[in-house]
Amino acid sequence: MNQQPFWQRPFTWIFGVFIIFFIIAMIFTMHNERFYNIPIGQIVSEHTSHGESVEDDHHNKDIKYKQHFTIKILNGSHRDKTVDINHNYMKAQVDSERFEKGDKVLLHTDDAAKSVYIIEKKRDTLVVFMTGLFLLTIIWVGKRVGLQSILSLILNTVAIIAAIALHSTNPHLNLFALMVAAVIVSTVITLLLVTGWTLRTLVTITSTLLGTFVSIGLMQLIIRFTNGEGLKFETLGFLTMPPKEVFLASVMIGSLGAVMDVAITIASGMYEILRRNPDISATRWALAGRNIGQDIMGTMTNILLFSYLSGSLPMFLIYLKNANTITYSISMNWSLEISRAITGGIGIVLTIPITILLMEVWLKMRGVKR
Amino acid sequence: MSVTTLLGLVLFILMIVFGGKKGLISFFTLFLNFIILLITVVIIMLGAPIYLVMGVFCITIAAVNLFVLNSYNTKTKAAFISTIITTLLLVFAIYLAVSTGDLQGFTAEQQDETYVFSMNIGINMVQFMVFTTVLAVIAAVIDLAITISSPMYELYETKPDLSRTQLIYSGMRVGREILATSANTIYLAYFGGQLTIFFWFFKLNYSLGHIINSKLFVQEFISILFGGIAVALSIPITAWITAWLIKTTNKGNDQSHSSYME
Repeated sequence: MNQQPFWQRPFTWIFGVFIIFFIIAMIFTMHNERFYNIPIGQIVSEHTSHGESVEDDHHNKDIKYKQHFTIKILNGSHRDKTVDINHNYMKAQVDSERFEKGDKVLLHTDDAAKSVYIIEKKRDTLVVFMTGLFLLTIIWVGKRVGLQSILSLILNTVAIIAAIALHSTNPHLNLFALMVAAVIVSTVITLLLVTGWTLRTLVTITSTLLGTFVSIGLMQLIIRFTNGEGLKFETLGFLTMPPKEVFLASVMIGSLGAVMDVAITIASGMYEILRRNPDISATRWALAGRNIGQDIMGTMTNILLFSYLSGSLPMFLIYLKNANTITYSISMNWSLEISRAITGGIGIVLTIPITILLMEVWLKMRGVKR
Repeated sequence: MSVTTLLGLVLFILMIVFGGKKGLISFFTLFLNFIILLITVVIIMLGAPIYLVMGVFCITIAAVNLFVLNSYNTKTKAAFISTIITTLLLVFAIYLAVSTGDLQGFTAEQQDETYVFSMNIGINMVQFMVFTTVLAVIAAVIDLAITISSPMYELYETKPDLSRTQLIYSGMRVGREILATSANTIYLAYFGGQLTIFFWFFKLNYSLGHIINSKLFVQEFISILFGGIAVALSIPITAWITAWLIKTTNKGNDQSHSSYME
């Protein structure tokens, strides 16, 4: 353990510089209106009328509030002008927001600053604060590993966003092929960063990619075999391109992390067993790998299931509240999410024997070298 | 047969082939988790207080995945307490972020999909978003907690004279080893799940200033960040709780053991 007093450790200094940097960045976002092209205003006075009960066709009760704001514009050609606007919101705030005095908002204005309405709340301070909190928590807990994790997250994002950007500038390129390339790049980068450059890393890279691609291939086969029965591609939100291609790409990205996790856990667990017990028979060794795999396949699939379902919960709730049956709401909102999670699960389970097999090959190769 | 049924069947067969009895249990736990979630959402839909329902949901899910899938012992008990504490801290932080940023509910860009529905549903969407954000990470927190607490306990069994600080230190080491992969798992799962939104940003032609203030982007961004924060935060919490629990529950045993030896 480190015996230096905490203020002499280089880590404390790096951490301190990080905190100061984020505090400065946050203060900057509180006063950065002049750098925006969009008009920004601050609510200087606010009046909310008494709520008015409303009931929709499905007997859902909500309360409607009317707000009246005086907004002072902080930048652009209408700087320092004040405008009065009306705004409505519902108590549940499903698709409306309640604003308060002091809130800064992004505005839409015409040339005379007559018809003004609020586009968005100004959220950049929150974004900076949360980014800081995220980075600091990961670095504080993980130290050097924390930095590696952040680096791999950033590089993964760059790889995926680059594939999307390439596709949107050159729509003739095959989206799925671009995503496959992004997946290969981010797998190699992540595993090199996390486990370092050894022959074992090659094992985890190969088994991750095999596990991911085989499960995606299987899914494509099943979709073709059943003509995509029961999959409501049209419910995939924000669609601007062929839904099946987008869906397969999203399944691939989504299961990649879990499959990688399984490959690493099994490979390093088996390596640890071999280190402690170098004379273990190949069969016993494979069995030990299988035991590790059995312990994690359920929980890993569950991580995917909950993560996917959480994104579609608000829409699911709206369906239920609009007097749709549970089965209809599930088929409209969750058919894609559940298929996604199951495909990820298939990838996870398939990665177990693939990794074990490749570890056996690795042992043979190592034996030959020796 | 529908795609989902066929995929489910393939997963079922694969889990049994490669997982045996444990695979069968895993498959049914997965199914049980889904049913618990469905019932929870229906109860919220009927108007029950969301935070209360969420508390019961978290306790049930943690209990099912720790005590039923494994068994009731010091390891799972430590993982259970750590999961609940991490989740409580998260709920507080998520609530602050969602309410200061007005991140709840649907965005203006989603109106194409939502205009056919009545949106005055009378369910507090700030609280509901806290629930969905917790849901996205709770499985990962449970997984991490048990992965840290069980080697700590095994280490204690081989070396019972380790101090609490040494136990915490070893737990932190185990946690750090899996931090990168766990953060990656939850991150890519979220990214994959919401990939269509990222396609959209390239079609919208928003300015950078508009994107980083838009509810659409900030909602996704904050959820991803909370995934990472949850994973990182659960490591020291689990290491600390496990060491504490091992030392307090086994104190009596140690003494009786030593007096017996005398």
